[in-house]
Amino acid sequence: MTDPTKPCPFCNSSSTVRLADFSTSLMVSLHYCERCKTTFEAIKWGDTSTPLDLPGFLTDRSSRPPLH
Amino acid sequence: MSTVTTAEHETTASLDEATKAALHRLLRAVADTKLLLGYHYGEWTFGTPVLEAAVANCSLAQSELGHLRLLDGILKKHFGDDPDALLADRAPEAFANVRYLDQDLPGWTGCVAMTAVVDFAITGLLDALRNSAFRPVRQSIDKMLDEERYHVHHGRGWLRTWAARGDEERAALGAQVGVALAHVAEWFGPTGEADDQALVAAGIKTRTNSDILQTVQAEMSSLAADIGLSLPEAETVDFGAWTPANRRVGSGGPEAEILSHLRGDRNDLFKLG
Repeated sequence: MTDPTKPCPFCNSSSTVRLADFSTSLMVSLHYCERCKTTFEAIKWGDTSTPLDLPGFLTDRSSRPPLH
Repeated sequence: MSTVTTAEHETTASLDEATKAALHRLLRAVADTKLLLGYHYGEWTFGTPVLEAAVANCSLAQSELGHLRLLDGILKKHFGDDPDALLADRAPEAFANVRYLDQDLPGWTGCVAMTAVVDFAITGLLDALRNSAFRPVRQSIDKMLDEERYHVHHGRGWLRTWAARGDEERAALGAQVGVALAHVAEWFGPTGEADDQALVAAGIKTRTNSDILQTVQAEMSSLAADIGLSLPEAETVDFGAWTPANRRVGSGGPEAEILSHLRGDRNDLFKLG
């Protein structure tokens, strides 16, 4: 699927697709740049921009009150 | 989203005995389930329909075992558990994992149902601990949930993919999801169960297990309808013999061969310490 939130780190094109949610290590996903034909990885932890197929209650990441 | 209105607890010293014991049992049950999830994901790093699923299961196994280590740390520091001894010395009946994980999974359909239902249900429980009044738990949850969101996303994706593969796969998947949902319902326990009430009253959990189960069931029903999956009617569970110690109705536990693998019985010679 096209994933414009992950621009290519080599040519900066936003014409990229996500190939896989899990890649060479736990914390990265695998992407492909359709412009420069390069495969690259992106760190996913803490990422709120990548759309995931989730039930509503798991999309709320912001309302937790701070620790004292 | 509710916020913490009860006292926060840095340690178990400020918890009453019943609440401390209830939290201890719950964390052990989550740790046991994550141990078995890690095992089964590890088993399914081969034999998947596509290589990508094998890579994903490697990552999912790492996640679950990492979460187990986080929970082990809490169990050791705050409850005096010896995680190695818990694995080595307990009888199968003392393990409080979701029953679905007691045996080898029945094929790839079973693995998809594990991710989509069992892993998802435990994530629902973790979400209810996100604002926990017990700070050591609260500080660990966001890390786990960050990873679990990908598990849920992955499980739902495979559920859609497998259901679209054909009538036979869709029928088998519906049946397997039904089994997983029944086992999850057993694990969450009866409505109004004493441990659960104590934990919610103390602000350690923000939702009851019955409430979490209803959410899990509703989400699975909605997804099943979306992809044309026929789920069996949920059977009423007789919780008469259920206890929070092993979260099962009647006896049961991981089968001997699985425990032997987990304990590394065939590699005694190479164990450290």
